[in-house]
Amino acid sequence: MRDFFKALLFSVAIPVAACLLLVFLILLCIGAFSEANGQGFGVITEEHIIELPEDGSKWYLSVFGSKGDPKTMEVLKWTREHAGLKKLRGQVHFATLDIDSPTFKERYAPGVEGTPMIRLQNAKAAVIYEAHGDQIPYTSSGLYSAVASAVNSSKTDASCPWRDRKRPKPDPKPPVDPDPVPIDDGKAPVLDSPTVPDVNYVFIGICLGVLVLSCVAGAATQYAKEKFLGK
Amino acid sequence: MKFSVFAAVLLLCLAGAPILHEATTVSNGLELPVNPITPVVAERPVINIPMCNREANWGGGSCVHASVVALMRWQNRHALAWYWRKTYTGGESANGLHQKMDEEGVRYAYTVNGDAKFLEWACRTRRGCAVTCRGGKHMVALVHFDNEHAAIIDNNHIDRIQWMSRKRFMSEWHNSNGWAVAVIYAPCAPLKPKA
Repeated sequence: MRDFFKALLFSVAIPVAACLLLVFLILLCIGAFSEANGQGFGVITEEHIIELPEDGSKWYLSVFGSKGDPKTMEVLKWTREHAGLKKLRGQVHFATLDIDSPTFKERYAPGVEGTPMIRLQNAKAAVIYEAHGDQIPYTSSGLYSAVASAVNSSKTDASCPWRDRKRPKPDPKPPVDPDPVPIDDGKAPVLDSPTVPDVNYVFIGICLGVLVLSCVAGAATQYAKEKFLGK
Repeated sequence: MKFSVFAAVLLLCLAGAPILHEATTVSNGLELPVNPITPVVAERPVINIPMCNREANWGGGSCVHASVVALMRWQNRHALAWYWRKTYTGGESANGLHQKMDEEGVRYAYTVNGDAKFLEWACRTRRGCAVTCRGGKHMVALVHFDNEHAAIIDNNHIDRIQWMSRKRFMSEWHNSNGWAVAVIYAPCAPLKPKA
C-alpha cells in the first residue's frame, strides 16, 4: 500500500505540480514583457477614458414661469414630489426658465402663448404636451395623467412586439446622483398609463337588482289588478 | 309596467352619472391633440446660442473662456457661467483649462488628437464644444457639425455664425492641434416648431 502511494506521488503529483509551476512562470514572463513593450520600463502611463453620454435622443421638459408666480412654484413642486412626474423629470432634459430672463425673451417668448407653461418635446423638437395658464391641470395627478396620455399616444411604434424585449435595463452601481441631472442614454420617457376610472360594479349591481325587482313588482301589481280587481 | 320602465331609466341614468364624472375628471378639461406629432424642421445651427448668451472675448485674449462660458449658458448653467466669466481671464492651454475645470467640479470632456467623432458627438447631443483654430492660437465655439457643413461662433465676432464646409473646418482644426472641449450638462430645449 505504501509503495502504491509512493508510485502515485512520483508518477502523477510531482509531474503535475511541475507543469503548473512551468505554466505560471511562462505567464509571468509574458505579462512582464507585454507591460514593458506597451508602456515603457517603469513608467506609469495614464489612459484617460471618458464615457461620453449618448443622450441625443433624450426628450425635453421645460417649465416657463417666474419665481413670484404661485402656479409656477406649484408646478415645480409637483415635478419634485409627485412620483410619476419626478420619474419623468429624471428621464428627460429638465429645465426651468424665468420669463424675465434674457434667454427666455430672446429665444422662447415668441413661441409661448401664456405662462406659466409646461412643455414636453421629443428629441426632434416636436411638442408632445403643452399647457399654460388655466390649461394646466389643478392637481399633480391630473398633470401626470395628461402628460402620460400624450406621451403614450405619441408612441406610434409601440405596437412592435419585439421592442420591449430589446430595451436595456440599466442597473447603475453606485446609484446615480439625481442632482445634477444624471447623464445617460436618452430615450423617450417611459411613463405609466394614466389611471383609468374604476367602474363601480357594486353600484351598478344594486341598480340592476333594483331594476329587476321593480320590473317584477310592476308585473306582479299589474297581474294582481287584472286577476283580482278586474280591468 | 310604466312604473318599472320609469324606474329602469332613472336607475340607469343614476348609474351612468358617476362614470361620466370620473371621465371628465381624468382629462381635467385639457384638450389633448389627437395626433400631437407635427412635422418639424430641424433648428440650424443645432446649437443655436441666442445672442444674449454669447460671450465676446475679453481682457485681450480670453477666447477659451469666452467659448466655454457661452456653452455653459447654452446648457442652462448660468450661475456657473457667471462665476467663470468673473473668475478667469487671459490665455489658456488645454492642461490649464482642464485643471481649472477639475478644481471647479465642472463636468467636461475633451480631445487633443483631432478626433472628428468627438465633434460629431458634441453636436449630435446638442451640446457643442469649443475648438481650436488659427494654428492653435484661437478658440471658438463649434455650433454645428454634420456630414457636409460646420458652423462656428467666433468670440471676436459674436454677431454672426460662420458656416464652412466640413472638409475646410477639419483641415483648420487639425492644423490647430485638434483640441476640443465640451461641458456636459443639459442643453437648451429646442425651439417649438412653427405650425
